[in-house]
Amino acid sequence: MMLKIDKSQGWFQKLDGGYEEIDKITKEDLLRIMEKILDSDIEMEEYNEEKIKNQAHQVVYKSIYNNLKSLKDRKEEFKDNTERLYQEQYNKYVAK
Amino acid sequence: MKKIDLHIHTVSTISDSDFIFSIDILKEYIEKSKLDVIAITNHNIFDLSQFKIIQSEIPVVTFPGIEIDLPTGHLLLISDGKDLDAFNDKCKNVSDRIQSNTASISVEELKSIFGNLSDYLLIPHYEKSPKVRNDDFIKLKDFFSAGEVDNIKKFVRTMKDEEKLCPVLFSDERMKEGLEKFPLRQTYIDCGEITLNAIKSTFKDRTKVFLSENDGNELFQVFNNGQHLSTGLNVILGKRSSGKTYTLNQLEDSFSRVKYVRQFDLVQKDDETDVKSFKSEVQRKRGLFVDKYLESFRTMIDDISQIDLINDEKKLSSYLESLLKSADEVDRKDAFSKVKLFEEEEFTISSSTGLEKLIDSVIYIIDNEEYKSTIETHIEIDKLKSLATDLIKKLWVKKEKDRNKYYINSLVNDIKDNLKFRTSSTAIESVDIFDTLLNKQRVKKFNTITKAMQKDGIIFDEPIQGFRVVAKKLPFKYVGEIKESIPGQLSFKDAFTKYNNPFEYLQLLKDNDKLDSSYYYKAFVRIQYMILNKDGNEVSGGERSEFRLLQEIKDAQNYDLLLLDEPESSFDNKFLNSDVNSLIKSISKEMPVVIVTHNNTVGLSIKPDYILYTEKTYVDNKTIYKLFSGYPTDHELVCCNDGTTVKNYDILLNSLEAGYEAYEYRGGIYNDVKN
Repeated sequence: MMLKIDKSQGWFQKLDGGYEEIDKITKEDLLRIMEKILDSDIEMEEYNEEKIKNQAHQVVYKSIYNNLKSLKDRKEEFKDNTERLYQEQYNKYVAK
Repeated sequence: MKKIDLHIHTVSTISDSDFIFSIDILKEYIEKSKLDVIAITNHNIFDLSQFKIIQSEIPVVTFPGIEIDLPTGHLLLISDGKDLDAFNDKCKNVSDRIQSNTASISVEELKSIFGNLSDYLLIPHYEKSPKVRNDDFIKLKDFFSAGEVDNIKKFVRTMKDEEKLCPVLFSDERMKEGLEKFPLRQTYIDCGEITLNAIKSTFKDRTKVFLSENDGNELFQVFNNGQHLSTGLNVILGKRSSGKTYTLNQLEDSFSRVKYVRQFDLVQKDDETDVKSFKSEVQRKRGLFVDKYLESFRTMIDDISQIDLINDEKKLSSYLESLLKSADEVDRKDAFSKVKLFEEEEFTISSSTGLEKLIDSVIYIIDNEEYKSTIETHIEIDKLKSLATDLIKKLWVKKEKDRNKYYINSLVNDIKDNLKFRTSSTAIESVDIFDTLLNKQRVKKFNTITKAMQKDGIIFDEPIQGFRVVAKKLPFKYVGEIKESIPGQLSFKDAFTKYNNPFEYLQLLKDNDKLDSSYYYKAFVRIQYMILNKDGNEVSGGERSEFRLLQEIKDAQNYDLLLLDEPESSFDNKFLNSDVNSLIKSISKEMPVVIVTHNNTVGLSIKPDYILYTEKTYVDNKTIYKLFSGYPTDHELVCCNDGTTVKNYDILLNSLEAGYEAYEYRGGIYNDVKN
């Protein structure tokens, strides 16, 4: 679970598998999670205002969840895009 | 035999450059060229009164005609002249319709003006610009008696092809005041009486149409003094300074589109300069090929250079900063920042490119005619059509939704801006993580592809006449090598430190304001050209000259006449005999070739069709260059100026074998060695 709600707070999964509070998330963490979403099927707990009591966590969790959800939904589109990316050049200069 | 020129201009029209007609020049031209028949053919006009004057003053048969602009090209229409007034009226009709140099009349108009076209002699521009082509040609084909060409090479080629119209070569000259050099473009016809119908019948039998009076299409006239050349291979012999090069220069002046390979042109002068200029020449000729090879890399560079990863990261940072700050301020929210839209993010709008490409692909399959049957074996076209329809509908729906999203995004942004203005709370910045990630992927692929492209490899290996031109790709090893590939005085020192990381290298190239972005692609990979000999080694100085000579001769195909001045100057006999001779011989079957030589390997082994001999004499202290000519089997060569002759046997021995005694002596030595 990459994003989860526990003890009325939002959490994200760190590189070592442990969890950190969502308001401690850094740019590097965010990029890592984004890339992981594209590589594998990851789980995220849906945003629920009722379950998160910490208002600051609500703001951060909601925004990050929505952004990552949108990316997850567009995963196929991303794959299509990257697979075709510079295909012509790849075939010409790399493939033998 | 009658000599004819049925394409002569005497009136300056909007289609000509300005000139003043001179009847004296016309008379002189007819006299010097020994013409028997002419036709006056001005652009879209017939000047009756001028024609009557010409007819009364000119001692040869003169037909009235007109050169008409059809939509595709020019057409000569020549009348028998029996009813000049009627012809004049018809031509006036043409003039009225063609008032500018872009106007023309259609074939239908032509037919309606002139009635039965069989009454006239119709000759289109055929192997000559602007050609009567396509529908115009097809509609008039049955009325054409001959087709006009504009040089000897085209005449000979067209004459050999029975499927084509009988070729005719005419001067197309303006008989203007001050004309000094008379054209040599005329045609001979074997025709008894001179009537328009007789000429038309002669054209129908192409065996009666010639370039020369006595030698059919073997010879053609080159100078006004009546000097002829073979339409095939001519060899000019003669002592040093006897006028051989002078003759070649004269020939160059007499014709347009001449390929002239001068003596020592191809000989190496200075090794380093020679190698450099040789390689750049080879490179220039093959540059297009290499550009094509690098074309898609160039497209990729254009795309990649738009990416700014630092800016992408900045956007991500400011998103996160604003997000965390906004979270921190959550207790201090005011009425404005409490509005739900204040924290609302933009709808992401995906690209339609994939779907559009898919639709194009399906339509491409539906429309394909070449493989229609194979496609139909596997898929029903109707199913493909409904697939295309469904996809198009999806695209419409997507576009509609995207439009709405765009509208809402701008509306929300507008509201957010207004709220931001009134609140002290931090608004969350928007970020497009999809594009951020895609850009990272782009860069990754770019680095992979570029590194693969920089690896040593052969782009092309082209065999040319016993040599091989090889283009290799390889990485730049020194910064100086990049400077050689890109024009201008630019420094790549700083950028080169990052050469092993293509994307970072590109960023540094972009920082160089003086470097035009269209050259970026050239800074990534080095292209090296090599000319290899038969053994696979790089060519030597002598071999470079050989290669160039072969290339020049091959290039001559794009010209109408090839002149070669002493090709033996820097080549050994073996090379001349094996490669050069066979190439020259084959080209001389397509076009006239003239070689000046002292070398018997070239002179006789090449089996010339015609021999010319130059001799320098002095008359009244003036230098006169005499030119004798004849077939190789002729006993004597004749000078067309004064009819004097020289013995062919003597000329050959003296010019090619250093005289009879030397020839006998050498023969003796060969015999002794052999025995």
